[in-house]
Amino acid sequence: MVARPASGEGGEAAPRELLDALDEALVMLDAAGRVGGLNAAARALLPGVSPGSALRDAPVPELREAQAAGRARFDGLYRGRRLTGRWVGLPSGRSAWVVRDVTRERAREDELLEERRRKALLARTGRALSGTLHLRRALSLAARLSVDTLADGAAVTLLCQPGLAETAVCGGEDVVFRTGPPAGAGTVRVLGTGRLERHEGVTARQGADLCAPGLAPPESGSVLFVPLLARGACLGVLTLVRACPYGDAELELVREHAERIAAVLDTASLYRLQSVAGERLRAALRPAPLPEVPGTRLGVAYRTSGRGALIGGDFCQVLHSASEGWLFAIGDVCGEGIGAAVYSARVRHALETVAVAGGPLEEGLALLNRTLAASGEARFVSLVAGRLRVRGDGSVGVALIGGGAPDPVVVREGGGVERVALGGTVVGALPEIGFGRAGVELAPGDALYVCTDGVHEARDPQGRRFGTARLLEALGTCAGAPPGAVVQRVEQLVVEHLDDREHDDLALFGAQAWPAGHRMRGTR
Amino acid sequence: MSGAGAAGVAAAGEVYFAALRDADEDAAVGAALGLLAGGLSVPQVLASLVVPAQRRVGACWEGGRWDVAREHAATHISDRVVAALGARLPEVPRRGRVVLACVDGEWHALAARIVGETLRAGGWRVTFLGASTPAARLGEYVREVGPDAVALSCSVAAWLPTARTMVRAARGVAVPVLAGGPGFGPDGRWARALGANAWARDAAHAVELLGGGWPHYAEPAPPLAVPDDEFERFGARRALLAERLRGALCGEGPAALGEGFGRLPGFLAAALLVDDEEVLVAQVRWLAGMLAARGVEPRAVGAALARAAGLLEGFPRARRMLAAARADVGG
Repeated sequence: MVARPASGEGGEAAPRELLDALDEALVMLDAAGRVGGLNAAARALLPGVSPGSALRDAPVPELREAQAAGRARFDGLYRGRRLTGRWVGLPSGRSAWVVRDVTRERAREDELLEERRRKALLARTGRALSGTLHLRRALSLAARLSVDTLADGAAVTLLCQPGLAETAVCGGEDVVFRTGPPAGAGTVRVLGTGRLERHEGVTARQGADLCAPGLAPPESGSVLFVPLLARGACLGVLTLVRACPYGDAELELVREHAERIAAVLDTASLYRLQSVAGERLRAALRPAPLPEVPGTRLGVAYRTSGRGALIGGDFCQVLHSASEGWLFAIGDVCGEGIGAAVYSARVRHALETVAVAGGPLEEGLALLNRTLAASGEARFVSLVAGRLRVRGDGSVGVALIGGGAPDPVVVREGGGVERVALGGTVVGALPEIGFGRAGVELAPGDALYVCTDGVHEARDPQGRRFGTARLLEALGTCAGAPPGAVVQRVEQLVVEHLDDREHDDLALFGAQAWPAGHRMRGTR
Repeated sequence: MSGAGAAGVAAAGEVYFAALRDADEDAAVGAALGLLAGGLSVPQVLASLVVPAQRRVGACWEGGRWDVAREHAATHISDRVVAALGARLPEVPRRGRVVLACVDGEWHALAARIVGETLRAGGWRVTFLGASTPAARLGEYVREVGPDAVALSCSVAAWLPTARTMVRAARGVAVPVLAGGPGFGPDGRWARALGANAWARDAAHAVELLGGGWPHYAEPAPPLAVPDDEFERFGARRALLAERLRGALCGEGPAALGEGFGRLPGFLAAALLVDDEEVLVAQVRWLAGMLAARGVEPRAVGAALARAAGLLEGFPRARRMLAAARADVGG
């Protein structure tokens, strides 16, 4: 509260002509607070205040209150004008209110504030929507943002193909989706014309006719259909419903809001086409989970290189062959990304054929090699494959075939670690190659681990390789443990070694003869 | 007696812990399914059987009774149990979608898996991106699937800097973030500091938060209240400082000390980022306790901290934090 300053002393009354010439309104008060006189501006601005009346009867409530409370300022509204006044003390207990008409100034300030609010609102729409490529999320957010800022209820209808639209309706809390032919007379019309429609004083019945199902304007409320335009076409319609009408100035804001929504929906629709194709491709290239092989515990870990967008060239497969029993293969296609993943998928499909066709694994691999070499593609795959034979005593015999991949490692249950020298030539580069061969016996609890090159070659920020020695050391601490846990542990050590550096695709596979003393799957 | 009574849960807990110790998957799954058959829900089995047993596993490792390989094997068995319980949940998503990830560097995926299955039981569609999710991958994924929430799991405060990157990635595309795990500090105070929209103390709390009043969209994460550029400068030289720190420790202290302090630069970076010495103090306190179980005296820990501070010329805030940690362990 602004305290009233003490009255000045002395001075003479100014001539009436001078007071009348002022732009500001002057209301003179005597010592009892009664209106003594008004200048010309005051008579025009405050026609309800007359000389001789008490100011406490003045028709401006804010002025009355300020006077009663002894405040030195007031801001008020009188007959459509916005007033501001200040109190001036005069000699002999007299005083005056100096009042100004600030309607214009305040309107300009309000305009600026309104402009700022609109900018903030549009910026928020932009921020919330800009990164969203998922179409349903974009539709849902668009409806939600409209309700939060411009309407009591909103629907966003997007034409997916002729005659089929997706609509998100937000009536308050939840967003409901509907897919089907565009519905609501207003929606359908604006989809065709691409021109904004404004309806005022809409009855419940009219509202139900006009709007998409699920969206109802308040009784005698307003409905706005705003076309969503992008690249010269009408993609859809934003429907807003509200109790109070939409003014002309607000329409501009609504249009800008709709422009932002349209741009995002346009991008998200294009993206959906691409991402559906991308996701199908990825699903076909993604490794399948391992089956359960009776008498063994298996584990696998993959990590695709950061550059490879969730798919890579490393693979690991466990397959059942009618003639050979359980087979596995783990390999690494040279290069990375989509090209390597597609090549890797070819290898995997060929190996599936080998398993279904039956016959010795090495013959199948030789066939695979000739097929890949004949394709003329400048890629190859290094791999280790093997046949797992579970015996009645719980031991597992593994017949290994090497195609130029890092040596497998056997971890005995008691703690011994053995490298299995395997060698062999990479597959797919030359028409005739030699494979490495080795046989391994796993007693219950013993395990065989095979990993791709990415593990050995992982380099830390100083350029040091993870290396075979560390791999053997890490595996040595995991004797007897479930392979699923072991491969995860090695993956963790490798990634920690990398310390944020880029890496190649990694794959690790482990197979353990079921440890004695534990119940076995498939033998109960 | 019903298998799901308090005594039944306690008995199953003993069987379950023994199965973890022996890495016996069938016995562990059997104990969990027994409680399920006795009338407990999947979230109840997770909360009353798996979570307490894993706490015991953690205590066995911290106390030096189990080596890290055994701890990994036991946790792997619990992973399999969570998967087996999850497979018994009906697929009836009636709520939105959550993308769940362990922050980059975080390898303890089990807690996140438990939260994932509890959320699924609560009707959410959950996509779990696995242990140590690279921040860029989370960003890509979130753009693509448009979830209602990103849930981030962090058990170790050293990963707070990557958690910050991930919070920004999610909120940058308007998706609100739910943080969980002790890495976000007591009562999740660092989750808020990093810009997460909420912090859940456990799986049930996560379901509660997402179910009531969860924001429909988020504004970009606000800037951090960091007083200087020490975090950035420290980050730029972290690899070098860590190397020198290791050198200083391995040269003069017991071997266990060098190993234990390997991650300290990460905690120091996190403490600088959220500007709270408690990140470092709590970690050093924990480390000192663990080293004590392995025969290293608190005095040696204090001396190591002093050597570390000596390497940090030009990082006054970091040095103050190291001094506070040293005072706390009384070294």
